[in-house]
Amino acid sequence: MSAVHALRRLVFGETWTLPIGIGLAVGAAAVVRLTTSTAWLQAASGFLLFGLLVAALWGSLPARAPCSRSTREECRARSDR
Amino acid sequence: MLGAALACGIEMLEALAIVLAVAVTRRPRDAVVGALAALLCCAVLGVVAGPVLVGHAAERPLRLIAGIALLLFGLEWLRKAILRLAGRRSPSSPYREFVEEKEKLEGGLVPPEGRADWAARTVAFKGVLLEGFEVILIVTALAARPSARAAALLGAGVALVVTVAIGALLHRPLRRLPESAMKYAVGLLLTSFGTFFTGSGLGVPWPLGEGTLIVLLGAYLATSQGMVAVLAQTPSIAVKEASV
Repeated sequence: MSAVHALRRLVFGETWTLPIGIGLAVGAAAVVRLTTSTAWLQAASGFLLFGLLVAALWGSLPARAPCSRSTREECRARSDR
Repeated sequence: MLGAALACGIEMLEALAIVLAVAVTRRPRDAVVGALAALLCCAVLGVVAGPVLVGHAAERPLRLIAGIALLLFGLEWLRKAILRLAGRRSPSSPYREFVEEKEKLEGGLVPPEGRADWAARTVAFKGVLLEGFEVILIVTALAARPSARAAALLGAGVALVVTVAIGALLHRPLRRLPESAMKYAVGLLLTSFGTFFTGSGLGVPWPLGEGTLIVLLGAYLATSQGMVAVLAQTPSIAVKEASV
């Protein structure tokens, strides 16, 4: 079971937010690419893909994650400022 | 080639840390047996799956699959790198992995001389197999373009030679490797390639052709640095609780 768990983490990473976000970004870009006939809109689907991937990355970051053990002092100092 | 060499090098170093920990804590022979068995499995998988995927699948679907695979790896590495740069995650270090693996193994009984140490072999086998599986996926994805096939394989070969050389010089150099920075660079490269391949697989007409890769690399670098800056300014849960 631990091997399956390790394999899942290896392929999909530590959070489900990122693979789901990638799926949604690729899906949205595919819809725009396939449903539009205008040349500039087709070219824009690449930038849409980039933008949605950045959004997925941002969404996967814990906004208020705890400091790591090795950087706790630095974190505390930053919070005090 | 640089992307393949860096990505494969990091994965191989992680595998090396596990094998060295087994060799130092138990017996070198069992560590090598476990690692060689895993390498054999990876070689069979690479020889069978790689050419079948690259040679028989149509170009656009293959690019799309390769792109999504690169995005899964690249964005995950980028996410971890952003957290590390913002001080929200411990820096990555193959030396620390070596020490942790060593501590885990030290408690167990070593079988008498002449008898196989299956526990040590299993740990070495599992470590090398999982990291090797990741290497195969990355190299296969990067080799999806016919023009990049030789470069991807060459990059993986260079990484293998360098890793074996480091292993031959014992574990001490592992301490000095800037693994966090290397992982950040690889995350940026894989994500840029992944976005480009996925777009190409969907039929997106990239305005600058392959030159778009440079633009994407710069854009991911800028946005990830912005995320680091924002995250570094946000007070953490642990600090909040401590200050109450």
